[in-house]
Amino acid sequence: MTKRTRRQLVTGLLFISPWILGFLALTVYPAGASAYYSLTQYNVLGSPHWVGVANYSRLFTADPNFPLSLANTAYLAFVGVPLQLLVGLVAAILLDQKVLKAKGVFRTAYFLPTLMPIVASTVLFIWILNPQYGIVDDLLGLVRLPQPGWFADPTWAKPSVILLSLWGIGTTMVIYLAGLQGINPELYEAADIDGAAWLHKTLHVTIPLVSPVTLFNLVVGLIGAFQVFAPLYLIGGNGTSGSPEGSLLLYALYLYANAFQYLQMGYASAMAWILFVIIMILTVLVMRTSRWWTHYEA
Amino acid sequence: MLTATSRASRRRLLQAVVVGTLATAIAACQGAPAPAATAQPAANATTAPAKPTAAPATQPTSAPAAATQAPAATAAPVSAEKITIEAWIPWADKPSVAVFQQVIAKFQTATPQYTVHPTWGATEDKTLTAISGGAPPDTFMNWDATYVGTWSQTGAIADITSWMNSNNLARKLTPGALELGRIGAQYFAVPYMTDGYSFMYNQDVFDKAGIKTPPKTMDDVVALDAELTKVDGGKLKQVGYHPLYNGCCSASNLPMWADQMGGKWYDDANKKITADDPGNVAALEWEASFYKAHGVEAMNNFLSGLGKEASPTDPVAVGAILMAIQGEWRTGGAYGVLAANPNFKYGLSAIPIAKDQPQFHDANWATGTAASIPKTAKHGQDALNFIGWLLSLDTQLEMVNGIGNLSATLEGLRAHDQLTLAGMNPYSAYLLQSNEANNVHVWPSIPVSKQYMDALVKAEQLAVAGKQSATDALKSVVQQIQPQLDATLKK
Repeated sequence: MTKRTRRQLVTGLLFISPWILGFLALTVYPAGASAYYSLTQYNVLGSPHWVGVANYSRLFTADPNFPLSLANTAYLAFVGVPLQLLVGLVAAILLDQKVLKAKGVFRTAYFLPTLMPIVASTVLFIWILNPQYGIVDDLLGLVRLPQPGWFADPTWAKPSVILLSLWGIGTTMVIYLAGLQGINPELYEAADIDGAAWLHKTLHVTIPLVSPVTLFNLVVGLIGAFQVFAPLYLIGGNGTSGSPEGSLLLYALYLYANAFQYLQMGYASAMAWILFVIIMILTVLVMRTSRWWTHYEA
Repeated sequence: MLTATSRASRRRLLQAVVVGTLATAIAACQGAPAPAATAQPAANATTAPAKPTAAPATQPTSAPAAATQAPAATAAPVSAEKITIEAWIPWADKPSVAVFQQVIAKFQTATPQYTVHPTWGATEDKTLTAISGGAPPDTFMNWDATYVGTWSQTGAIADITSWMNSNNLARKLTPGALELGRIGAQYFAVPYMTDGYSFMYNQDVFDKAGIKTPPKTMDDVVALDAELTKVDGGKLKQVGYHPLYNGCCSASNLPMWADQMGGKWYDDANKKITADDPGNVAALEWEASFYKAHGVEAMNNFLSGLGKEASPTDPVAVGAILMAIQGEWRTGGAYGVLAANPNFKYGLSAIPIAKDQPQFHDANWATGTAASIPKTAKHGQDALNFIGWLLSLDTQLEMVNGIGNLSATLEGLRAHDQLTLAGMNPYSAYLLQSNEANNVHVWPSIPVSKQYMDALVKAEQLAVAGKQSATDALKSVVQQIQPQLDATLKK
């Protein structure tokens, strides 16, 4: 390294040093501390007490809420996220149609729920899905369809949460919309010349060419799904008990309860690291498999 | 090529960057700003309601109700200089804050050495942050005492046993209130107001149905529930009794009913969780009978449609639920049924007993608004003088009449004829009766009390829905909580 290069390196490092310090103090140190606490019994108010892997051992062998919360969260991730992608893509395709008038109005209308605070939209859904007085069950009753208990029924509680999440697919939709508008129109023209119908064009041109966008939305969606907290805190009604019958005890909710209500910060740290590993594995899996289903326009 | 001038400029720029970076780093290392203790009192705050406490009851109390000595008096300040006591107080609604401000003003007049600086709307989370951050208040108050088990074990709150003894508080406070702050032979919290519970029923509906007397036994509750529950279009419209409805709190009603069957939740001598005690199992089976009678789906749907207490849709005040165990705040205070429906006519009675176990009559539970001193508080001893002032008879009556909770002292309960809020007199008299019968219970003050209650809530839901037997559900609570307790106590 020449003297000049070294000087430039130092200059560069000095310029980004505020960020480096922030990263070290606010990310690296807390993460390191959390890793250490995960090997201790630590109640925030006292000193951590080394217990080795006891927290991890308890999670996998003696805590029925751990697999329950993991299963509940996995349900939302593996059922909810694909549905969000599907609905987001369909909405984007519909809003990208040339024949559609007042596109701006429709796009705004579809995106608007995303802007609503999550607490407000959750409370709204609690009301409209209420089995006693909610409008949805009233309408279902009018056409003599079954009226589920929604959030009150352990069987329907998680699908209801997914329904709530589908209402806020605005961001996914907008990203898809950007992806759709980036597709070369000549590809559609070529398909038209070949006599391809709308469905064929969608399956063989649109979906492959927005697959990079799908990859992004999938990774972001999975990471988000494993960290859902606020709506469930409200819906459960009983704070962190995951009512009804533990069907809404999600991972983040149980982690929060352990950390800040039960004062088991060491245990909660172990949960956080397991969550990190799960998300990391899923992300790597998605990225590794993406080469088979993601297509980049040459 | 760099000129001498540009090199100098660059050097100055680099120096500026270094200085700026160091300044940022130093600023970041300064620690958090002083906690909200220094904030102005939120006299106009309207957010946090004057709530009752949450956790239900179980452990039988031991200290007999006896003395009627003078209230805990304030002592001379520990130091001669003017002292500001930082007091974090959970109340934030206007009426409660106004009452506390009057109490504080009188305390300051009586003891001019002290200035009490209140911070309203204190919560457990905020207090936890302040203590762990090394900037605790001199005293904090909490709406329930479930923190005592964990916080005392960590050394976060001070042992106030000697102060309690020197003020003879073990004889002045009600046995139930005392239990809330006791860990073994030591005291870590003083409840300065308590809650008591009675059985509330809809007098109008009872009159129309020709029911002359409230239910005396748990069997009577079942029979009246069957008689009064109404179904319309496949949905429950009116329920006699709903075992999972308890008003404001996340806690379960089950311990209260288990008290009527001799249930026990914790064996203090052997440090064992006893959720699967036969009395508890019997009480849970009794609760499940309501779900069997009306259907799981219908009962869960009905529960999810209930409004909030003291709102225009208050389930008791609008006649959706006709019988319920309710705390004293549900009568004439801001969170009472009358606030929701001024025309509501309610009746109060003792909590129904198990037919074949009358020996447990007058069982009640105690929850309470507790005060503690952080171990690292600057003026902890002085703060105790303020708490002592809160326990004097005049102050107790002022708070009871203004806020709508019950007195924590025997003397205060005995003065029930001086209570002005509707409904408080019978509640006070009934809680006094339970205390004098030494039959007031509290939820175990153990380091895992919160997760114990959460596990119980889930087990209760599973059992009433028929997903598990009452025995299995409560056994699973033991299996879940006992290892956590063992691990905590081992340390």
